[in-house]
Amino acid sequence: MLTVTDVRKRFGNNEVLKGVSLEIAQGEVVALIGPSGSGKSTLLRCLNQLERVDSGRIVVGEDVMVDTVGGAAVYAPKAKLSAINLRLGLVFQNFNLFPHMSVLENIIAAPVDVKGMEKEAAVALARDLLLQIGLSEKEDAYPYQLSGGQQQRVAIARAMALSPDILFFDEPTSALDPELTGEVLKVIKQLAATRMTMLIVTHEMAFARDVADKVIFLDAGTIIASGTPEEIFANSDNERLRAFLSNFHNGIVEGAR
Amino acid sequence: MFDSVDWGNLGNLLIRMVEGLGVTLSLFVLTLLFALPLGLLLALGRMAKSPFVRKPAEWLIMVVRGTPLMLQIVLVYFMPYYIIGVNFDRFVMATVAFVLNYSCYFAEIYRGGIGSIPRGQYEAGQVLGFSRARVFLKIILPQVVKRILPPISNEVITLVKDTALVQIIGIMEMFNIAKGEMVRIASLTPLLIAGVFYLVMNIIIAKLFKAAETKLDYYR
Ligand SMILES: Nc1ncnc2c1ncn2[C@@H]1O[C@H](COP(=O)(O)OP(=O)(O)OP(=O)(O)O)[C@@H](O)[C@H]1O
Ligand SMILES: [Mg+2]
Repeated sequence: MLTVTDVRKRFGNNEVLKGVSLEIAQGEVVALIGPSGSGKSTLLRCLNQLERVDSGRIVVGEDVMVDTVGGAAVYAPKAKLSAINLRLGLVFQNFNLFPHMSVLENIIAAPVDVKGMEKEAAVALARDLLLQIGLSEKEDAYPYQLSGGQQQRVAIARAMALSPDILFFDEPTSALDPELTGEVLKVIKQLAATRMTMLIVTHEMAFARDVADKVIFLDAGTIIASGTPEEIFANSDNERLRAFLSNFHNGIVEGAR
Repeated sequence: MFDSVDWGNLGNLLIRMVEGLGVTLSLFVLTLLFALPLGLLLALGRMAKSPFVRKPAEWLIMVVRGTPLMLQIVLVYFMPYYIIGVNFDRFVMATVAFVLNYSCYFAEIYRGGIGSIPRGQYEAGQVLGFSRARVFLKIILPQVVKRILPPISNEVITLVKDTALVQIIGIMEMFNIAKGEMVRIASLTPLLIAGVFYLVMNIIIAKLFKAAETKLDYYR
């Protein structure tokens, strides 16, 4: 579904991604963990075309988004990039809902405006999604009237409304009060149960262990370890990974949540 | 006897002042009509990546905001004569000067408003597949409008009062007529009437902006 090969990205002299390669299969849920500044957000932003890579290869399904020819990144033509972009969804850390649109308008905006869906069909789709995230009664509310957890659930519904092939999450619960993270993680777990393909950047180790088929550990722009949750959390012999995970010891013990 | 004469004079005076008010209002409306959209274009130019677009916009705004409007009115009116020996209509040239001047002030207000919208709004729009233009029109601009209403209303109120400046090139707008009448009938009444007209216009404008702000109060 997604193949990333030797992706490099630098900001000025700061090489943030130093040759990242990974693969996500259809229906797979991948958790991306790593210390602050290791390049997790940058990787997601490159995959979602918010940043351009310096070199490497990204293939979504059958479509080559970017490849490297003679050392330099060459992107697909604009139309193709737009098509690829529509197949990828991104949920931001701080939601980024559109404040001037109601919950319903937030969800139907892209399907109607970008995909050209009939408004009635988009509304029906949005109501169905709102039902799934348990916010049916909020369709006419504006973002400022919602809690952070509710806003993030709407942001997930908004991304899902375009029926993406892969959904990316960048620390979806980091901006939330602890008591609100549960409701968002529950929605993501629901999606995982439907075999939605997802790549989730998270600091919620217990959640990563529960929901992920595969965990990737990114450190200083390099993937240092990758494997099943058991392999990563239980008995890694990697020094850096162990040091990183020791910060989250509590989170894993609390894993029953 | 006195009564009938006074009322007749007052009637004539009012008719003349209302004619002046017509000129004042035309200048006001035309300035807004052109300067509001032009200001937005200028703001986009001022924020452009290319220095070939950005720099000229920056200089224009600096020069226009850094010199008196009255000077600009005189300059714009006389420039065609000194350059190509042709005179254009006073009112047209005054309107050109006003549009130029107010576009620059509006541009800076737009720029502030656009700059205050968080990056995340652009990125969310882009990730959802909106083109750059659609992101701007559908997501950014509505939020900008809400944020710039208060500073725009200040400028519009200033514009009402600035219209009096075009008398410098001999345009018979309301204030110019009031001055003439004042001298002619040796009375302050024309000035007071003009003052009331300006004040009423601005009260109406303030109310309209307040209504618009209330209308956009549905979100934060
Ligand atoms: N637009 C940018 N310009 C310059 N440097 C940037 C930019 N974006 C990110 N960086 C740098 O790239 C590095 C990686 O940042 P990134 O946000 O990808 O880390 P992260 O793994 O997501 O961290 P966190 O867990 O704190 O979110 C950091 O050193 C950061 O300062
Ligand atoms: Mg990050």
